[in-house]
Amino acid sequence: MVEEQFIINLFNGVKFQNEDFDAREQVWARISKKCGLDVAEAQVSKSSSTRRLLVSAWSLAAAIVVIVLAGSIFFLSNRTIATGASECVAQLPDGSSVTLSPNSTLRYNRIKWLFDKKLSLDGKAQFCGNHKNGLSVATELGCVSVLGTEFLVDQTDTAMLVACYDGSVNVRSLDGSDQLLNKGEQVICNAEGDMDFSKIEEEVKSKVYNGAPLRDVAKQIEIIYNLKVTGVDSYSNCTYSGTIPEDDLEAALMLVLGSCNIDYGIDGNVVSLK
Amino acid sequence: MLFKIRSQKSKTIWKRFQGGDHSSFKEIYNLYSRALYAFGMKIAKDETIVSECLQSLFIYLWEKRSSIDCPSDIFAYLAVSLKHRILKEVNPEHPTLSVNDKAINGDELENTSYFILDTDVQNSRETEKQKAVALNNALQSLSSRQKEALYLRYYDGLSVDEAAEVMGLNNQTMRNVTSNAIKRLKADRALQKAIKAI
Repeated sequence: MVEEQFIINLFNGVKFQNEDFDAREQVWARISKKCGLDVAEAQVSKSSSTRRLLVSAWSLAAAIVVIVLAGSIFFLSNRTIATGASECVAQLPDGSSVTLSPNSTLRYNRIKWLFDKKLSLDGKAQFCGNHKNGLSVATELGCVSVLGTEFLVDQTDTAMLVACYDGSVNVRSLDGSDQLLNKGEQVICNAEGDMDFSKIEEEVKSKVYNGAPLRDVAKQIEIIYNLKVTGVDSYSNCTYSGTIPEDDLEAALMLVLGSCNIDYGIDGNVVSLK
Repeated sequence: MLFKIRSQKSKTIWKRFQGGDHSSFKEIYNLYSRALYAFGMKIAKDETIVSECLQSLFIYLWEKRSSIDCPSDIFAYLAVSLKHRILKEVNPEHPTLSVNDKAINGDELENTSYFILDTDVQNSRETEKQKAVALNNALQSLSSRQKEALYLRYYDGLSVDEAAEVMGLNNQTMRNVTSNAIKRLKADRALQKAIKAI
């Protein structure tokens, strides 16, 4: 054993001359050729290339199918609630309810809702319920983040009114400025991003209509402002939900008629619906 | 550089090779060709002869694969086969020459063995180089059979039986050859001095 260890140590770290087999690959190439392996290897290589190509093609096809399926599911998960002449009460995925005014559209995606509770609103809607997990309503003129339970969003072409009846909501205008609304507060945002903050007057809040026929609402406007509204009969199917400001005719007409997408003109004490 | 290339895996590869599996055949070549070449270069210091003998050996293996049973030690089998081919190549007048022949164990093999150490290994310390020089000189004082025995046992890492198979000796003769070689190396003063200097 001692002798063995001696010789093992002796050979440790030494190298004999001429041990580098530089022609190793060339020799194999000759062996391979003589044994006919080069043709077989080429066939195997070609076959494995074809197999790889097939695997790649199948992988690509599978990926496309998955993408198309996922896209389809996502697309099919889009929900649109649109109202015509009458308002509609709908339930959102979080169990809260929304009253959508006539000629308004609300959109959301059921899958996206799991991660981002965001709605897209064109028109006017009143949200009611428990939004403790958050809710955002995006319109063309701003975004309303819900912190409370009951609020109104009314978006027309030129302005957005947000009124908070309970809890609190955060309103973000187009220029990115935020306005926190507590119970009894409202704000009107315009296309320039300006925000007009005010208190909801009690008497105004008391005149909340809920799906009232337009002719009834028009009649009330005639009484409040002592004027005549013509052309209402052409919109017999229209209804209105919300309030009628009593100190601002322009705001009242914009809210009521604007929500129904009705153009109008004022000539003295006569409001003509077009 | 010890070639410890015996493994259960190589037996499995050999069985697949026997069944005609190309990749196993290439694997055997990749596994043993370097060690075989290095061993072959100790018998004939001619890379063309060694390469050609290695080539003909592997071609023979492929052609006769179905009739060659898995050797107990693949490297030993290949090494002895290569050795026969090289000796046949360098001694064409003795086509049946084997290591058991007296002629091979005498002067003829002395003249055809090249167990020469590389004494100018880069990145090695001066004392290591001195050891290599001393060991090389000591090795040259041994017979070819002793050099081959030491090479197979302690450089290639073969067992006594495997080395004996390669050299065509019985187990006891192999032990005697190795033991005598070690004694001579231990008696070499220059080598002892170089070892102590490390």
